[in-house]
Amino acid sequence: MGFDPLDKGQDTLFVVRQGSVLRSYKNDCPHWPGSPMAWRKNEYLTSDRTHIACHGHGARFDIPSGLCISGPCEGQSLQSLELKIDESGHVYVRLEHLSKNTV
Amino acid sequence: MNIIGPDALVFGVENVQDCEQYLLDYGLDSVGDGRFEALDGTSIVVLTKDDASLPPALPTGNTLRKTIYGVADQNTLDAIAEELGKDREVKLLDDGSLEANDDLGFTLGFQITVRKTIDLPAETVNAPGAAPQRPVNVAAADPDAAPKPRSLSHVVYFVPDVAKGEAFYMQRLGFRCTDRFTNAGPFLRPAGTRDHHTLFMIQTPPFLQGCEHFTFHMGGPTEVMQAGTRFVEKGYESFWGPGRHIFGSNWFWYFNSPFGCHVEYDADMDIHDDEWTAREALSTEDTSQIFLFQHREKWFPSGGPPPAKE
Repeated sequence: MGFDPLDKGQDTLFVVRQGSVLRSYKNDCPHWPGSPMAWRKNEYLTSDRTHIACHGHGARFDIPSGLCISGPCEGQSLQSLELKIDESGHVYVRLEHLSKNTV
Repeated sequence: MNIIGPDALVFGVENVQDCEQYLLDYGLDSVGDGRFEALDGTSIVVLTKDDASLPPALPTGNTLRKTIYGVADQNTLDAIAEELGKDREVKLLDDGSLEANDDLGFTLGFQITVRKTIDLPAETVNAPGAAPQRPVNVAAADPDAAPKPRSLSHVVYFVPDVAKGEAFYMQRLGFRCTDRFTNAGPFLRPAGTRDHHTLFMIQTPPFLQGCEHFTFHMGGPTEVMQAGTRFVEKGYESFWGPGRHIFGSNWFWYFNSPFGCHVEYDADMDIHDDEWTAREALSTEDTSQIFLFQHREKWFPSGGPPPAKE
């Protein structure tokens, strides 16, 4: 799912859940920095849901690590964002980590 | 060679349903067999990547499987068959079309064009100093307009060897180079059209080879803005634009897509003939556009008392 906490008009980060684990990455493909990755709202994964994909040129990324395993930026990684989850299940991200060179 | 331009692009994808829905939302009409047409009959064809009728994929796995060019007449088809037949296999398909690879491995088709002549007004502009372009009492702005793609405009390839690619299209098929980005590649125009380009190539490492984007001509800048806004409102991800390019002068708005390449709306492209002298520039933020905008949620200055605090 994508989010736009800084009100940029386009989602700047996304969160992927695998089982009970949540991971968050900047919506910014290392191939061409500044490039958003979804093809439609909240659609950040391959159709078989096994990898994160960038829908600019089809790069695929490992979900747990954000490493690009195939595509133009192979070997580079997504910028991961630290999530904090409180006892009620609310999810937080540090906005200053997000605002460094945003989309 | 009286080649007019791309009639159709054929894709083999994993996620056929997502791609089909995308093209419908983009504004193309489904006519069956995976074909989605613009107003003049040019189209995108989407099939599952394992479909036996598709030419083999590029080694990179890019989803573009074939670029089908429309030509003016049978004489042109015969000339192409003869020219390309000198050094490669040229297949004659059951529908009378030809199929052959270019020098970079892209599968091309050639057919007598399916483009229908369409008779639609261009966007009108009223400006001081010139005669009005629309009649008195005709209101141009229509918030309910649903502009549709009119014609397949151009395709852009990532290629491992621009010089080789350019030589093939120019020397073997008679394309002209209208302008060039030094560090990227040439804008190419087949002899049967005056559009600034129907093919642009960008030099990249070999593992990127394939389609970078395709686009359809809209009726004018407002149609690009309105169709693009509608597309964003359906949830699709804007990539670059809206803006106006310098080479070609066309308005542009690019979007991400489930095809693994970008998809664009464009409008108001320059037309050229053989009198034109090609320009050249390094491609940068400044040479690739005059200005660049970004979609935002509607807002307006309301001017009344401030809203009550919640």
